[in-house]
Amino acid sequence: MNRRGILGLTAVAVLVAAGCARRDVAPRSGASGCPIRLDDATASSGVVFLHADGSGGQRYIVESMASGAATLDYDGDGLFDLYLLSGVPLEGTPPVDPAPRSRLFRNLGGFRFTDVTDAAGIGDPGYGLGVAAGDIDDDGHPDLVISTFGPKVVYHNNGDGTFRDDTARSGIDDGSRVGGGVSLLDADADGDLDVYFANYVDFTCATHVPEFSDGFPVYTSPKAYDPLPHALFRNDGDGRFTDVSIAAGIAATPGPGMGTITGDVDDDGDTDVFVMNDGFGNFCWLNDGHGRFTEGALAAGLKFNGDGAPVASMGVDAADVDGDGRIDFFETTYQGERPVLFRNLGGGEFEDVTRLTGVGEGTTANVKWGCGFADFDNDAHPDILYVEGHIQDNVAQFDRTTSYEGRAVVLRNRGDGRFARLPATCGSGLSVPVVGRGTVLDDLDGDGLVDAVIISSRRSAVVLRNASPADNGHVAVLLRGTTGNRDAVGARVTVTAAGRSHVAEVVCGRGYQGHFGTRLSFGIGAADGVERIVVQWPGGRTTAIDDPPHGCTLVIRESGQWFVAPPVRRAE
Amino acid sequence: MGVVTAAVVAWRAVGLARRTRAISALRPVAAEVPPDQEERREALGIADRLLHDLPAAPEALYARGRILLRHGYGDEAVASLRAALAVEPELAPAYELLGMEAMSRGDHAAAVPLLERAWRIDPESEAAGVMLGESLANLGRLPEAVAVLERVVAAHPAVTAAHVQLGQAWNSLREPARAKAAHLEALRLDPVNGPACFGAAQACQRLGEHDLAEQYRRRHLDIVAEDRGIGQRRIREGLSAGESAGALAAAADLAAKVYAANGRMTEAADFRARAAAAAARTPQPGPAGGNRR
Repeated sequence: MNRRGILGLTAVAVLVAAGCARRDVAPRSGASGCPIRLDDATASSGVVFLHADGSGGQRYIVESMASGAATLDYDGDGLFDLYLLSGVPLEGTPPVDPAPRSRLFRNLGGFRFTDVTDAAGIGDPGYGLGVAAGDIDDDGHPDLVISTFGPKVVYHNNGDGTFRDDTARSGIDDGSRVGGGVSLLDADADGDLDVYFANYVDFTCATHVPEFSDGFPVYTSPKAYDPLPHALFRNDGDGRFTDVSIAAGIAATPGPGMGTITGDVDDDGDTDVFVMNDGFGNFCWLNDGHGRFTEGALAAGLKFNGDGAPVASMGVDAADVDGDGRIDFFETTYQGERPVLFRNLGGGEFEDVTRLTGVGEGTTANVKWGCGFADFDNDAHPDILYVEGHIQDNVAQFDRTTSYEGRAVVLRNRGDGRFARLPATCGSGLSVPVVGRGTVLDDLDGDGLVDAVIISSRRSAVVLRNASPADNGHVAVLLRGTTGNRDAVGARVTVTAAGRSHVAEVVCGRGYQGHFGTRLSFGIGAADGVERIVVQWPGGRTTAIDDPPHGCTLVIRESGQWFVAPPVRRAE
Repeated sequence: MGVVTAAVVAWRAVGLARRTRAISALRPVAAEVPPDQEERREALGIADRLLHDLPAAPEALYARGRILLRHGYGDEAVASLRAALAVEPELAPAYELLGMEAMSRGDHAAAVPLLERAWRIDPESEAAGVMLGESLANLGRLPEAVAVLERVVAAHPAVTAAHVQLGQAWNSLREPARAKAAHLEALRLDPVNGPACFGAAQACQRLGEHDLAEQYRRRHLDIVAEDRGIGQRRIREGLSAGESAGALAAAADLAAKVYAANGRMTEAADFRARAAAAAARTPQPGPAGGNRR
C-alpha cells in the first residue's frame, strides 16, 4: 500500500497545471549580498493614499493609533487588493478637501493598482482603526468588518465588484467606541464566522486628558483612561449577528486592546483569540469549543514579557518560526521595550525567547507597530517584518534618542534559532521614512515572493516590492471550507519538503489591527519538491496530498479535491 | 632626547590633539530649547555652562553627558562622554553611562565591552556589574551573565536588581531551583518587586510547586495593578507636567558636586540652591521602571 493508501487520504487532483513546478520568474541578482531585498515601489504601483489621523493640535489619544489595513481578493481574480484605513478630522480639526477616507485599491496585476473606492461603493467615511476580511455570509466573496472611533461597520461584498454597507442589517453594534483589532473566527464551531472586536479605552473628545513630558504637550498614555470591554458577535447564519460578549465570557474583563489574532493556542482543536493590550497585559481567550471563553494568558505565559512587564503590545502575528510544528507568536511594543517572541512549548504553554533568539537586538529605541511573519527569501524559515513610528510628533524636541519617523525593519530568520536584522541597504524600501502603523504582507504580483504595504500616519502609504534573489522554491495554499467556515479559519496546514515540515494556521485578522495572509505561503528552500501537504480542517477532517506541485497556488477544498489556481495575469 | 622620551612626548602630543579635538567637537544646546520650556532650558544651560567653565575636566564632561542623556540628547551625550574619556581614559562612570545608553537602544553587543571596561576599572560598581549581566543575558550569553551576576551578588548582597537578573538568567537556563532562590532573595529585599515575583512564579511552576506559583502570580498581578494605578493618577493629576523640575534638580545637584570637586565653592553653593528650589517643585515619583506609556 502506498503512503496515500496508508493514510486513507481522499485528495483528488483535478488539475495540475503544467509549468507549476519552480517559479517562472527570472533569477534576480544576489550580488548585493542581501538574501532579502525589499524595494520601494510606491510611485510605480499606483497606490496613492494619504493617511489622515484627524489631528488638529489637541493630541487626542485616538490619533496616535490610526490605522490598520487589509489585503483581500475582493473581485476573485486571484490578485490581492488593498483596503487602507484612514482617520477623519476630529473635533476641533478644520475639514479638509478632499475629505480623507479609507480606500480600496484594485490590483491590476504587474504590481499596478487603481483606486476603485467610489466604483466599489466602499470607503467608510468614519474614523478607521481596524479591519478584517472574510466571507461572513458564505456567499463566496470576502466581506469587510471594520472597527472605528465610532460604530463598527460591515461591508457586504456583492460579488460584482461592489460592496453594500450592511452594518444596520448585521446587528453588529456595541456603541460608539475606540475600536481596535478585528478577528473573524468560528467561535462556536457551527460553520460560520463570528466576529471578535478588541476595544481600546473609554475616550471621547470631551474626556480628553492632556499630558506633558518634560513640559512638552504629548499624546496621552492609555493609562489615563479606563480600558474597554471587548465584544464577540455570533453569526446567526442569516446575515445577522447577536452580541454574545457577556454569555461568551468576553465582556467581564476589559483591556486596552489593539492587535488580535486567532489560533489553537492550547491544541484542543478549537480556535482561541490572542489579544494585544496596550501596557496592561495581554488576553488569551481560550475557547471551550462551544464559544465560551476563559482568559488564560497568564497561565499560558502570554500575558507579560519574560520580565513580567505588561508591555505596550501593539501588533501580533503567528508562525512556526523554529519548525517544531507549533505556532509561535510575535508582538510589537513601545519605545524602551523589546518586541516579544513567544515560543510555543506545547500544551498551551509559551515562553519569551526574545533574548535567546536575538529578536530584541537594536529594537528598543523606536515604537513598533505593524508586523508579520513572512518567508521573504523562501528559505523555509519565516522572517519578521515590523514597522517603526513614534506616537509623539514633537518627540525631537524632548527626546533625540528616538524619532517620529522610523522605517520598516526585517529580522531575518537564520534558521539556527537566531534572527538577524537585515541592513537597511537591502533594497530601497528599507530606508524609506515612515510613521508606521498598519502593515500587510502578501504576494501582490504572484511571483511567489511576499511583498508589503505600510500605512504611514499622516503620510502616503508605502508599497514594498520583494526583489529578493529567486533562489528558493515555494508553494502557496488557499483553503476552501465546505462544512466548516468557507475561509477555513482555524485550519492548520503542514507542508513537508526535504524532510522538514512547515506549519501555518489560517486566520482572519492579524498584525496591527489589520488583515492579510489569507493565502498561506510556504518557502521550501532548495528542496526539489514538496513531499506532502496535510490540512487539518476545523471540525477534525484531514486532507493530505502527496507529491503536490509547487511554485504555484494550490486551492484545496475541505471535500478533499484540490486544483492549481490559474496563474495570475501580469498586467491589465 | 632619548628615543623613549621622544616617544612619550609624541604620544602625549597625540593624546592632547585627540582630547582637544574631542572637546572642541562639543556644542552648546540650551539655545535650541523653546523659551517656554524654562526648566528644560535651564537644565541644558547647566550642561552648556559645565562645558564652558570646565572644558577639560573629565568629571564635568561626564556630568554634562549625564544631563544631556536625561534630556534626550543621545548623540551629544555620547560625544561628551567620549570627550571625558579622551581626557581621563579610566573614567569608569563614563563607560558605565555609555553602556547604559547602548542598552537603551537595545544594542547589547555595543554595551557589553563598554560595561566590561567600566567594571574592570571599578569592580565595586554594582551598577556596571548588573547592567553587564543583563546585556550578556540579552545576547543569549547566559553562562557568562550568571558568572557576572554571581560576582555582583557576592560583593553586593543587598542589590535587589542583581538577584532579579540572576534569577532571570537561571530561569532562561532552565535551572528553576537556582532561579527561585535568586528571586526569593530579591523579594526578601524588596517584597513588591514585580519582576522578582514573576520570576519566582515561573521557577515554582517549573519545580511543580503549583500552589506557590499561583501565589506569586497573584502577587505579581497586584503589583502590576498597583503600578498602573500610580501611573493613572500621575497622568490624571497632571504630575507628569512637573517632571522637568525633577530633572533640573538632578542636573543642578550634579553640577554642584562637579564645581565643588574643582574647588569652585561659590558656584557649587549656587547650584545647590538651584537644586533645592527645583526639587521643591518636583512631583512625587511615578511608578518605577516601564516606558513612558
